Amino acid sequence: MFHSQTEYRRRMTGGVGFRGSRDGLLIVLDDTEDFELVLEKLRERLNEAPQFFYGAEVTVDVGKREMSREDLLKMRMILSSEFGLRLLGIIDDHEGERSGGVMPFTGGGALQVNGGSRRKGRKGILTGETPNVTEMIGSMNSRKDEGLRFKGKTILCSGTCHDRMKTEDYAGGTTSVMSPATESAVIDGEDQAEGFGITGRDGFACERDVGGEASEGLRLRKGAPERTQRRQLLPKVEEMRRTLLLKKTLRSGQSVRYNGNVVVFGNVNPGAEVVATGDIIVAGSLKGVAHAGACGDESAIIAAFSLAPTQLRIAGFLARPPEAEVSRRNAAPGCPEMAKVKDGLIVIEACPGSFKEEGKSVWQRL
Amino acid sequence: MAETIVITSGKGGVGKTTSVANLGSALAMLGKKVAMVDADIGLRNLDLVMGLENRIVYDLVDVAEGYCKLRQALVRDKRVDGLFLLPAAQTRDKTAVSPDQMKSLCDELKEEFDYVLVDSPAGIEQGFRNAAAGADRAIVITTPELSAVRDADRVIALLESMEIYDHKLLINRIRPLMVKKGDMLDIDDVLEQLAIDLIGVIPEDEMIIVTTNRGEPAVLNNHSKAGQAYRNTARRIMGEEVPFLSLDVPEGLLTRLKRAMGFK
Repeated sequence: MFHSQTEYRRRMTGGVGFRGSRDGLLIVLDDTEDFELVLEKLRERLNEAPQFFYGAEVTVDVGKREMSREDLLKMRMILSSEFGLRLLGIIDDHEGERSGGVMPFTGGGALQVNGGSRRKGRKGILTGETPNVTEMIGSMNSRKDEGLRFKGKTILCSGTCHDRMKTEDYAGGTTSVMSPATESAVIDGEDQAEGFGITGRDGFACERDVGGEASEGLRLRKGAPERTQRRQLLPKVEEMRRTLLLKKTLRSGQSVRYNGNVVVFGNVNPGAEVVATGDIIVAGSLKGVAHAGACGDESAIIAAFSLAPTQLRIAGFLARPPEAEVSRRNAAPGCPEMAKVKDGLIVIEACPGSFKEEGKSVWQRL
Repeated sequence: MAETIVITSGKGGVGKTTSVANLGSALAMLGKKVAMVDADIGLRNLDLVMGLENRIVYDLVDVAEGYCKLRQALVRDKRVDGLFLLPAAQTRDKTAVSPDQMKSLCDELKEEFDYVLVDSPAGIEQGFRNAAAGADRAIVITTPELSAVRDADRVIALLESMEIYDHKLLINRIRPLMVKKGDMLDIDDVLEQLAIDLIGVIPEDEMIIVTTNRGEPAVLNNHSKAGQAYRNTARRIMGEEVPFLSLDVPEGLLTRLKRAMGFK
């Protein structure tokens, strides 16, 4: 998709080009002209049809340009404040500097992780190309990315992460994107939530480790060795995990993807989806789909006041309630329960400290 | 020879999803390999009606966008052999798939299956166009109501504009008693207005509600009259000549008594 980007950048007139892409609009900016001029052109072009652009989701390709924090802010001002566009991410193209944080995918795509160290002042930009589609099999793509506003600091995440990334690459990316680790974000209104990644996706690598046909019951036969190997992808994730606190009920069709833990104060209705790289806790009833440890962390847990999900996923394990227990989706036990992986199976237990008698049930593998 | 059949209606709530579930199951019970595609992206229901919701891992949009292989997304039915479901995405909308993608998807399914049944969303917008894009044939569903018949008429015209000329009519939820009293449009009224071939008549049946809520199609139930009608329709889809179910209202005891005594 971006192979001809360089040519495109050269050919486009006026320094600003627009292209439609699967994830919305891609704005390609000339990387040789003075940035001020380019921004002026951008403003002109957007002014031609402000109605059309309003609310559009855009990704900006800045090419080989080194963006300073000021440049970034100016561009954001024009896009977000003046024209009401939603900036999903920024793509850049620093071929010469790939040694540090960038590695090509086997599939021809490339994921770049530009660490904060090289560009001081920015919290980190994680950008990536969409890998060759046929190579995406077995991995899950973050389909839509949001510009994240995080306590006044800007964290931009974009692109896809691939399960074939090397450990150090991703770990490096995480450091820059995830810091500061100690802070937690609180979201309690629709509006704020918009900007944070509800129905949007954080740029984290996650995978559904499923081999074979879904129809054949998705046996996890693709083998444990692979999984343990993947587990090592994020050695440091535990220490730097953020927590997203959502004070709302997730309804059918809504989905939250977050690189960190997710706590929902409300219900997760059937048809809704929570995907987190860390733990998921629902202070309410969980009836939708929950995927904890989405990057391969098998120690992740899913807990809920009323645990009656459609399907549970922890790391590469998938499970659904046993047929006999499907009825309990309507009459979930009156105590908090917790799901975790034990000996390669997803096991449901009472939460520590709850009143439920000892006893656990093992859910069917998908 | 594999075929893609789109099940559509224009109007909502006339029983498209129920019909797909039942016809799919019936065809599979007759030994065919059947794939049911839920093209109602964003408001998926077919998986619920089939009771397969908790087995979904990937969906149609994942396949269309290339995140997984088609066979990974197919969910095997838990009761009937040879029956598979390609679920719709819940978190996306109809614009996530293009007609071209649907067409190539249906073509890919046709290589492995005898029948590909596509459950169309209500309406005549992009969702419908996506659903019909890969279809060789269409089954238009209507209920004996003026509004549904009107919408079916519109849909038939749209199908013809999309060069799908092999379309058949399925009349759903007919109530013989009301037809007899003249309170409901009868089959002839509907056919007269739409002027296309009839492929099935499904009587209103409370069993449908029961089975739908249980997540199992009515054709699996031998006591369901609608199930019987769907089984017959499935055989007609396969090209067999099957007489239509008699929709005569069974006579009550009193009527029979009266007749016996010569009052009527």
